[in-house]
Amino acid sequence: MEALEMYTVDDRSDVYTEELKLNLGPQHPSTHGVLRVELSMDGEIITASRCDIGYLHRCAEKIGENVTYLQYTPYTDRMDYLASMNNNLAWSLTVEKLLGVEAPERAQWLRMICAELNRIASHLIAFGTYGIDIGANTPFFYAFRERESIMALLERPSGARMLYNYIQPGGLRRDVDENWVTDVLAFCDDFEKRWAEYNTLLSNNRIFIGRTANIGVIPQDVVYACGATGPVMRGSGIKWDLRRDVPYLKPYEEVDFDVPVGEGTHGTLGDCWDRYWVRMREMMESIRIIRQGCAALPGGEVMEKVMKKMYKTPLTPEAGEAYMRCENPRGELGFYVVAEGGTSPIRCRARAPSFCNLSLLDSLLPGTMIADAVAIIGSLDIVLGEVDR
Amino acid sequence: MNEQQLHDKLRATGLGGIGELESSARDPFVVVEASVLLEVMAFLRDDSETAMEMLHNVTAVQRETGFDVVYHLCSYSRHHSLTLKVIVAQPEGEAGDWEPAVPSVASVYPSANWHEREQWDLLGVRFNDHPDFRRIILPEEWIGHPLRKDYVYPSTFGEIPLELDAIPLYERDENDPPKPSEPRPAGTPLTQPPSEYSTRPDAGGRAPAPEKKGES
Amino acid sequence: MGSVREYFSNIANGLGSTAKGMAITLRHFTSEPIITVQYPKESLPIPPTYRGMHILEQEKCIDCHLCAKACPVDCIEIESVKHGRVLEWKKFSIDYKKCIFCEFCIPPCPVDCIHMTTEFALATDNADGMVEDMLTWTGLRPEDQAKLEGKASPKKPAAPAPAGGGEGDARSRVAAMLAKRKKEEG
Repeated sequence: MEALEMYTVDDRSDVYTEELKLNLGPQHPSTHGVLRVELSMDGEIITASRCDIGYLHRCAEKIGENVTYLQYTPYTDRMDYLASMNNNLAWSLTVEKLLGVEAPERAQWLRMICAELNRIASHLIAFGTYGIDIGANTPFFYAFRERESIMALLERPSGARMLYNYIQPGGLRRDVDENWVTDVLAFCDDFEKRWAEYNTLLSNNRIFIGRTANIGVIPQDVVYACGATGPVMRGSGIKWDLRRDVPYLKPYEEVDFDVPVGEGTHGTLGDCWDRYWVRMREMMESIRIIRQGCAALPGGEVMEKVMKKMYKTPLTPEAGEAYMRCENPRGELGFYVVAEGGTSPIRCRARAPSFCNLSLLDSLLPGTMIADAVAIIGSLDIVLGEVDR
Repeated sequence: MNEQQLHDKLRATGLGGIGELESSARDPFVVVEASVLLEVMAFLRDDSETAMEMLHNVTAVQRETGFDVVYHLCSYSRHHSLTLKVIVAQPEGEAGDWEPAVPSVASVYPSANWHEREQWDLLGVRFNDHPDFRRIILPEEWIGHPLRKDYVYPSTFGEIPLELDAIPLYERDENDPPKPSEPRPAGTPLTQPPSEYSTRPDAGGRAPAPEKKGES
Repeated sequence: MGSVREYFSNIANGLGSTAKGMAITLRHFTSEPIITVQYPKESLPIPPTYRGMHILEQEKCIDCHLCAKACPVDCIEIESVKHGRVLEWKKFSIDYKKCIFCEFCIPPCPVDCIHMTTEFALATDNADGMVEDMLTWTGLRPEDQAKLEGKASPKKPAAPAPAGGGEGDARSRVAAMLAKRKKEEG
């Protein structure tokens, strides 16, 4: 803050100044999609900001009221398209809660492994694009190389590279092939070496630290007030992870992993670097989870026999409602479904983590400089497909 | 604390208008009168035993008899959660475009700000005393609320036609009208990747890639 | 003086950590394998489970419409006339403008006649042509005609010639692939 005071314009009546309205986006690479931020500028300092969202609105909630429970699974893929597995998982768990069924054990463990692989892929994008936002182009290509191996791994059981539609109510679409677990473990070994390279390239880079430390500090009370979750929340030092605190899958109770939180290593607690570093360490925790999952993977069916008939006759849960929260790479995804006995719900609400994290932005930006705005938006790691739904 | 204890605690505050706990539901919920909503929220947030730090989600649900507004609260320090519901019955004789109103909780939980704007935008539920009551996803000039059950998709927005195929994919040259596409024999794929490039394992006859001229 | 020293040490630090990063880039330049693929001259292996364009084994299909009902985007259109057990085919089309490749049309099929292939190259400049006809023949086959007229067919009818023909044809490639997969399984 002291540094900023140096730049503020003195009240000099002989100099004519005017407030400048600046549109950041909707077509701007640093907004990670079609987000428009209306900035009021005093020189290079932002005095007010107003987010304008909705450019990618596809009425996902209305569609949910018009298709069956199973048919909605591919639409959840398209919300947070960088973490489709996690979205599928959240939706499947919601429908399972509504029906009162549980997936077989093997399916649960495979779900965990797939969700964690997708979490790494999603954090790799966050890492790579954050580098680009700040001005480092190289890490992006390295991140995409590792993401490519994850996509090739998830493509084998699911049949698609991004929009997997693999985790479905009642279990999984199909079992993995016999070499899959070996290949996943090989990827884990390889990734640990790569992760060390990322840190040399970006995390410990002096210029990168200078651009992110002490920038965009989010205090803990603001995190609670604005409903931010996920790495944004943990970056501010709140040790909370649904996987550990409210395990929504049985295997999460059995595996051993840490919840990384921000420590204010290079500056104030809750700055951009802390959020970035939480994501980096979460990737390694995911690797730990995947290793334990692969070692303990039980045999058996991957789909409940009674659920298999849902492909022919639509599911009809009893009247009622269910709210299910899941820890997505970007925060807590919640599905709230109200059923009234038919083949499709009467209300299908998605509480998108990016949507809530983005609502912080208007309070974060005033007082910072325009170049830091890019760093702050990048550190929130939003996906506009999920913000607008 | 479980939901029953939370409900007892709420009842002990002496506030009127707190209904029974629906413990048979999958997520037990409490129906609260709109008039005491703010007090209930403030109590749940500030009391050291309930300590609901976060309003996780705000949803409005349209039913045949009116609207439910559902609030999901959760405590991060005490690891419990509670669902509150405000039921707004549709008065008799009201038309389909009737707008229910509940007090905004953005003054207690600022995270409600965007959620409430979204529910207004898509479902037409008014939140009184909201700090910034605008549409959030659709344009300000949009008419109607798309998530209503009786919503009719408009054919135009201002002068912009919204019908499918109303706008051509790309501007065509009037002097050079597109030729009608030749009927394709059944079974021919839409686009055929050049066979000399195909190295797919199942591609059968595989030809080497053509050599570029000037290279040797 | 402290600030001047800080200024220069910042520059030194910045250059130092950049040099460390450059060393990694250099190592990848010299000693790491190349992982990029020269598409379309080369392509990555596609797993057999891939969800690409559909193929219909028309002689198996019993016109039950379960695939069309399962489709979340209603992109499958089927029209046929039933003469007892013989089918007169009019239409079985998939609109690839709508299709989201979710694979929900595959599991409901009671006779296992619709499959997804590894064909993914769908890009075209003509959107009208994206409604793909899945039929191998339309109307009645000669042997079906014969069945209808209550006569035994004079001789064994030849199998209907695949419409596209040629080795580059997706349909014949898929047929070969399916045969190979069956062989491996059985």
